[in-house]
Amino acid sequence: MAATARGDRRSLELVYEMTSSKVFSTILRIVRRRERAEDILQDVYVKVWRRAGRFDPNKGSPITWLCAIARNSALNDLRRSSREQEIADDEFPEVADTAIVAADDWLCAAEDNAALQRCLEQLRTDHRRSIKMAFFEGFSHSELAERVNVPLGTMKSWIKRGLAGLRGCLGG
Amino acid sequence: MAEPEDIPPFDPFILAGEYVLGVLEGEELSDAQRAILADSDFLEAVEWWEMKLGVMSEAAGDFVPSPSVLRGIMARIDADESSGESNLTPFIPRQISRSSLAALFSGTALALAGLVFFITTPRPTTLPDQPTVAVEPGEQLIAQLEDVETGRKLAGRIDVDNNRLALNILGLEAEIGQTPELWVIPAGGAPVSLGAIPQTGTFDRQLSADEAELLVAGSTLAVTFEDDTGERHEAPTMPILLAGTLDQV
Repeated sequence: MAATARGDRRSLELVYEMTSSKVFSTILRIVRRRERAEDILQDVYVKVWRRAGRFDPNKGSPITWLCAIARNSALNDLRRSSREQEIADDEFPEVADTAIVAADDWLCAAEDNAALQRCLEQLRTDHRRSIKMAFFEGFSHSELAERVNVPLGTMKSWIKRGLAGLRGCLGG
Repeated sequence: MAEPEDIPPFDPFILAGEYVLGVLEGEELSDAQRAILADSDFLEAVEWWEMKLGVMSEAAGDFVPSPSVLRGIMARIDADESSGESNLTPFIPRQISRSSLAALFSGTALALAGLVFFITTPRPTTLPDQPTVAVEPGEQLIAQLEDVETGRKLAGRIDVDNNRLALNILGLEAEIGQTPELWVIPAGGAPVSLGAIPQTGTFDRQLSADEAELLVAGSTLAVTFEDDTGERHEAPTMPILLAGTLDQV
């Protein structure tokens, strides 16, 4: 990332090769159209090229930073256009109900992933599932409530309680 | 069970988590966007949640984008370097070749590329003592920012078709060595400077593609006083002088 900030194109290509599938999947889960997701993906890496100097390794891993940019870009795109469903739910690996299994190829700090995983497992199932659905699919409070078929107030309470639990567990 | 039995009815730290998660809508989303500018503790909380929750992203899957994406990225970087204006690079559809780059700089091509932005108006700009901007035909967003106590006011309009920002400003007199600076807070993002603006009067300039991307309905516009360095600042200096959301006309 430091080399990218210095204007080294080969380093950007390397970052792209290492991270693009994760970043693309993050976007694709939210916008659900491949062409739209690829347009956003292109925009994300141009932003990375321009903003690599702002990356602070003390705050997190490069993939976490990249995926934060990608999620924000995808959510912004979703808010200024309609939600589409070109790609069905069952084409994505399930992450909403099940635990996130640590893999050997994690690009972020393994201990950060393990800590989050441990804390998520301590949440009530409804709360954990709602938080994961919001994170991975980009659902708002009202969209989650409709999808899970609970009152909006209930969904808001689930999210707040789940986040409060994560905050306490992760030391925020 | 990690969850507390009782949670306070309003907890800014939890609101920051909801903001990062992307679940907020309407007024709650606007409140959070304003808080990012007005409250450095809130901004720190947003960054904390982004890093803590962000590690989940790796479980999103391993879908592989088409090879044309990387070519499109490099084409845009080429365009940056050839123009010498890195913040003025337009969005380039993946299917368009490098030879088509020049055409993409035209307004028509931008529209074809899907670069249509919308701006809002929280309140009509009809009061006689209000700075106003004329509402032109076509798609646009208009914002009206006002501080009743100080008399500071700003009306802004984005001409979508031409990617132009127009401001009418009243009462933003800064101390010597300082200048008013305009900010936009995109949904789910940190404040981004739009540069220095006049202390009073009218102002009109072209928006870069990156700027236009941020200026969408629901984004927050804000103004602070910053040191007049001639450059855009990375983060706003408190206090916030004016803030308000952009809404679609």
